[in-house]
Amino acid sequence: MFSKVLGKLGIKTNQGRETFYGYIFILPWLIGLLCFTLGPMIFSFITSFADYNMRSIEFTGLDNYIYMFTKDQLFGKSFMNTLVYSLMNIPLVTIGGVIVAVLLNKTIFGLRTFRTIYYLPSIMVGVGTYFLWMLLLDPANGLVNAALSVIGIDGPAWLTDPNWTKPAIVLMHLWGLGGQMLLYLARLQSIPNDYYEAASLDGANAFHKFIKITVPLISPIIFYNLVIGIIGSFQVFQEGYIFSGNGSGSPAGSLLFYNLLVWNNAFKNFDTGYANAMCWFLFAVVMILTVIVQKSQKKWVYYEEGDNDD
Amino acid sequence: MKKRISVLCLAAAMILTAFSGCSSSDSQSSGSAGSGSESNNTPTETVELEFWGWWSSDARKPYIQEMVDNFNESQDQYKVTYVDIPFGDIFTKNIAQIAAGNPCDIMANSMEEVRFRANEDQVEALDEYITDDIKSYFYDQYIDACTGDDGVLYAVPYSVDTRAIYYNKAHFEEANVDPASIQTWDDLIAAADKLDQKDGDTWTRVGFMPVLGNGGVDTWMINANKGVAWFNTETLEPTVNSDVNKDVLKWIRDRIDHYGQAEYDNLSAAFSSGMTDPFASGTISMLVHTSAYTSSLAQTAPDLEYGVIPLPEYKAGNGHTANGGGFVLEVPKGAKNVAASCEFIKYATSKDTQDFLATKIGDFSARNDFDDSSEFFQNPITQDLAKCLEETSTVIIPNEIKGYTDVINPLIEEGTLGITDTDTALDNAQKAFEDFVASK
Repeated sequence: MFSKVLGKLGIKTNQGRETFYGYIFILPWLIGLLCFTLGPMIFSFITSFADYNMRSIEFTGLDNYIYMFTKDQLFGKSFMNTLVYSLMNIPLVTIGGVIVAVLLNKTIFGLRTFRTIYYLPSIMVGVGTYFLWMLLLDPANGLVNAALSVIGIDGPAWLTDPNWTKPAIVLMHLWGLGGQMLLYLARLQSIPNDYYEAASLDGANAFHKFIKITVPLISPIIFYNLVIGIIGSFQVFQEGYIFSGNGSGSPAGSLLFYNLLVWNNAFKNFDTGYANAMCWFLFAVVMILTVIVQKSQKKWVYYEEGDNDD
Repeated sequence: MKKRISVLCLAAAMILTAFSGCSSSDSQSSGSAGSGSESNNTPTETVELEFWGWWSSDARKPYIQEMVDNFNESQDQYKVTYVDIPFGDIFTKNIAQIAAGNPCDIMANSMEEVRFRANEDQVEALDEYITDDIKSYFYDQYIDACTGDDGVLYAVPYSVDTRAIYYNKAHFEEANVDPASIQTWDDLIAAADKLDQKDGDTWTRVGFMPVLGNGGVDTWMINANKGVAWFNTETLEPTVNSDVNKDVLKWIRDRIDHYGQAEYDNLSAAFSSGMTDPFASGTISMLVHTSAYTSSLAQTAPDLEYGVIPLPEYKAGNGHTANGGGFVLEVPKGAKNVAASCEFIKYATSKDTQDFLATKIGDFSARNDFDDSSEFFQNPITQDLAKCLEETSTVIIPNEIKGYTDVINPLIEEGTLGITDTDTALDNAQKAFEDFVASK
């Protein structure tokens, strides 16, 4: 049936069919992009060159971008906050996901229960989770500091000390790394045992097997999580909005993330054109980082099929 | 074949349903709810209006709904529907609806930013419907806050608040502190020292910490400056690092140092998470909070015996100025029937309705025609708060320097938290404010 339709469309080769099926699969996303996202994106780009407050548009050329780089005192602070948070969050969550997945790939008693327990937090999303963590991170009565005190550590004031607010959020994200873990686990299960047995015969220890077999074989998933992690980390917003209470990024501006500043400009100060300009700068940064990671994959991502092309 | 026809029919029905979902809702927001096009413009037409607010708690929503129902029953021209939208969403939804040309009909909003919203063309002018005789029933400062730079009225005051010090009566009796003796900041500290209790290195009772509850650095700055603290109201020049401000911030930091940063962190986290209230639980003896705190205490600590005193004077004779604000009712720009919206606004801000809301919810009215005969004002706590309201300053940020707080607050907070010394923090904030003004 389908092959007849494809034949009528002039698609007769296998490769042509593959391409066609590919487009069919991404069609829902494409329709979403064309109907709901593309229009606002174009509008946002145009108004990034304007003084736009959601009621009127007055084009001002590059003024928004010039103000951003030369005059806005909060731009640099918010960008650095986001960068520092990303530098802590991306590696820790990625490494944490791999470690937990490897541990849960062992045959131990109650494995399914452990996997469920580790995965459960990743399906608990929303504001409720943040309030739950506000209680867990309470310096006097929170579970986190209570646990630390057991091993003799006097826990910090996680959400009131500006030096500890970003680590607090990273800690919260480590709790929710079950989503990443599941992807690693799926890949780990497909690695044939023969590889490890052969390595054992050659005298490789557990660490060598992990570095030389496990990591290369799960590297496509690490690559995928890295790209998604970069995009997600630079878009951090809710954590700053909820934990600072009023969207101000307190304490002492330590939670003023880039997207929180965008939100404040768009919806508190109604400098929506300027907020749009900030969004496009962030888009450029994330795009550049993604391209760099994409290009670097040839050096460290291993595809079994031997196809390392983009 | 039949199967295909039924599939096609189903698909067509789905598409039609989808498109009907996208149809304009004008008929609901302002059109006739009566009997079709023939009845348009007839006197019996019922205008349907949407009133947006964020009050959804059991302490408030039933009374807002009752007020709306009473309005609907009082006449048959208008039918108002109350829609409660979470506080975190309502303002973005409002501006999105305004931008889309399909806003709600009546919107509750903050009093402090009416002028800003008027400047941004987000609200309808109400002068035509809210006449001078109606305006005369409200205190001038609140009508002024609802008036744009162009002298036009854009909102009507709905409720106002102030700040005061709530004190635990049992603690005061035990420590032999007379609340009436707390007149100045020095008196306040002397009382706090008497109320403090310590077990070894652990504070078991904290007399008073200035920046907890709903009192921030702003509260004490405004109190000491008898109003606006961060800029000159005439020239708009920054005055962040004035001598008075430096003295105030140092006083605040000294009080935190008195109890220790760890104690401040613990109490601050307790208030932030909202799960425990150290004043309600008796950990703190005195706390700055808004006049709306009474309704919160009625729920969290119904048996707590507490009283209220005005914020003390920075120096004797300086005045008990408190910072306060309030909420207004306004008509978003592009609303379909401004006259009809104003009818509801007039009802909601009338003396009888305001008396009903004040009695049931505990909010103060901005009206000036209440007297002691009102049930609400029979309550001694209300009477004390009403005295505080008389010395309340509502700071309206001029549109020219809107957004400056985003720049200076993190720097001032560094001083409050002891990251930099307080004078340096204010000097940095002064410089940041000046740069902000220069960049505008």
